[in-house]
Amino acid sequence: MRRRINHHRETDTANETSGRLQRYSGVLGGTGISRLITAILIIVVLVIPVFVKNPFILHLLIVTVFYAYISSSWNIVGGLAGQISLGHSVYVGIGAYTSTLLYSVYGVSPWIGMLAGGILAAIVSLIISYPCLRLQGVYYTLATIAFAETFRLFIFATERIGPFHIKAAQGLLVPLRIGFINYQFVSKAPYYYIILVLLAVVLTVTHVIKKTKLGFYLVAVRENQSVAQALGINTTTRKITAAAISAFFTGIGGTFFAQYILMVDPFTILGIMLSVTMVIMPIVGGVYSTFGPLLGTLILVPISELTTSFLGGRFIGFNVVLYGIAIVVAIYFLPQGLAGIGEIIRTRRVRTMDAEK
Amino acid sequence: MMGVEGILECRAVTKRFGGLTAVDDFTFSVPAGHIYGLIGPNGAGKTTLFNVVSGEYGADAGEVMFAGDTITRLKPHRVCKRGIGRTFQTPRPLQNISVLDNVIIGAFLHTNRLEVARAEAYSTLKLIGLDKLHDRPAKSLTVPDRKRLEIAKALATKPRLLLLDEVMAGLTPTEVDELISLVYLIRDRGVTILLIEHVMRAVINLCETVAVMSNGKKIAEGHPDNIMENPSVIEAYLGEDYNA
Repeated sequence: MRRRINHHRETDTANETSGRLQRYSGVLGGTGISRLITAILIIVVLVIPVFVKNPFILHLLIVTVFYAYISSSWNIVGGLAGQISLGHSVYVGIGAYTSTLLYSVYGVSPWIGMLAGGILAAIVSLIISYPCLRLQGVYYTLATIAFAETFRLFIFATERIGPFHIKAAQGLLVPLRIGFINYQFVSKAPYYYIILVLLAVVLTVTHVIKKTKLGFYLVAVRENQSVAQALGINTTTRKITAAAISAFFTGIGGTFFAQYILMVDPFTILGIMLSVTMVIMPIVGGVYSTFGPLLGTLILVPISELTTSFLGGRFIGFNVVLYGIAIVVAIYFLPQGLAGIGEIIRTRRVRTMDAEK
Repeated sequence: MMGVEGILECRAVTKRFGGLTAVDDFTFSVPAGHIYGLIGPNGAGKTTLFNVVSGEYGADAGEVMFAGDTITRLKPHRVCKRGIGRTFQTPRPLQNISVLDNVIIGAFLHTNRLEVARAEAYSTLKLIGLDKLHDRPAKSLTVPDRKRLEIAKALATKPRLLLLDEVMAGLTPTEVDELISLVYLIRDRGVTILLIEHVMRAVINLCETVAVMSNGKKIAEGHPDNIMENPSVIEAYLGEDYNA
């Protein structure tokens, strides 16, 4: 988490230091030592299932990485584009229902169903974005909540659509058939690796977007929309694009979740709680950073699970209180999230250096 | 020169906000390559007129023509794509990113590649004189530097017409002179300039033609030297009592 301080180098050219939008260059940047630490961390993460067989711990890891994945997917529209969507669980649901229905009715492999779910989620996001993205700030957020809840209630009340038996509130069971092509495994380890790969993919996509025209334009849209328009940016299309990309990856996460717990129902997969959780992790970890959502998840999920275990019977729902506290602390003290700590330290260092001049 | 269409033509442009007519039947023409001034007392409607030209507001009546094309109904980003750049009265840098990144965003209008945009942005910063500060966060700039950044951002979009909204405000005489040279530099690169200004020193030094706006209407137009003596202009600025 280090960044070279270039303020004392007057002769720096544009090529070396600029065109990098990230205030926090991330674990993969920086000097030799942080690269070594990163490599070690990656190796550790990859070999965990070899040494750890305890199913509860593996479950905890899978859930953590899953939340990191969908938070990072959300962050493409929430952090990069600055559009706070509180209805993102609708895309998780679409992904889950699409792959499950295609599998149980037509026997389509959930791998294909996963892509189909992602694409369908992206298409739905276009339909939702069109009216919603005309609204500014809070109103956009309210509209996303409205859409998500409407969708949830619709699924809640619908038994079937044509050949697809959605089974309303009952939910669907994914037909049990172990096998790679059926996206079902006996042990937890394969799920762990799959979600890890998905996380790597979405983090890479986020990182790449930030270095392209779309990424720069989204920063402008996020910081000041009228300025962005005065610079020739079609803010609506850019926002819609970010929303579609975000929805696609979120939908894919939905399929993964369905295949992992082998059940799809409107309570779990389409609830407001899931939407809110997807937003809290990035806010605590830092929305402007590629690794922010992951950071937030690494802090919040274990604490949440542990408090549920210890306080389980007596304080049900304590993790919700915890989330509330975390959000207030984050917004008040760390507006850029945990990832912003690097920025705060650097700013202090620059001020000291400037004072010394 | 008479009869030749200006690069910017406003014909009977009117903009109302409820009962208030902010721009009233305003007609003027800016010749290509000109430095044209728009002056008038506060609240005259000058920035509103800018906003109509740049597409932020829609005109209630009249037409805006740019290089022969009607742009009256175009949205701001389309107006920018046509070749009109603007600065905002209070500079609006994108605070949390670097000076260079601010200008890169403007430069992306004409390219899809980061290296190209970055190179363009850097040379724009050099022209403006901000290249030494390229790595600073925009929010750390001093006021005169923010104004320069504001111009740099617009310039990076390679406009044919640049709308400058009170860029000289709050500057010391030395800073004003520096900015005057910069405006000449920009004009010499083929950019037509339309500026709103209160700092008379800049108006007199820069503008070849000046239009005076008061209560939404054009009350005078001509060379800066003559305009100052115009009784209606004096009345507009200072009130009836001062009219000799």
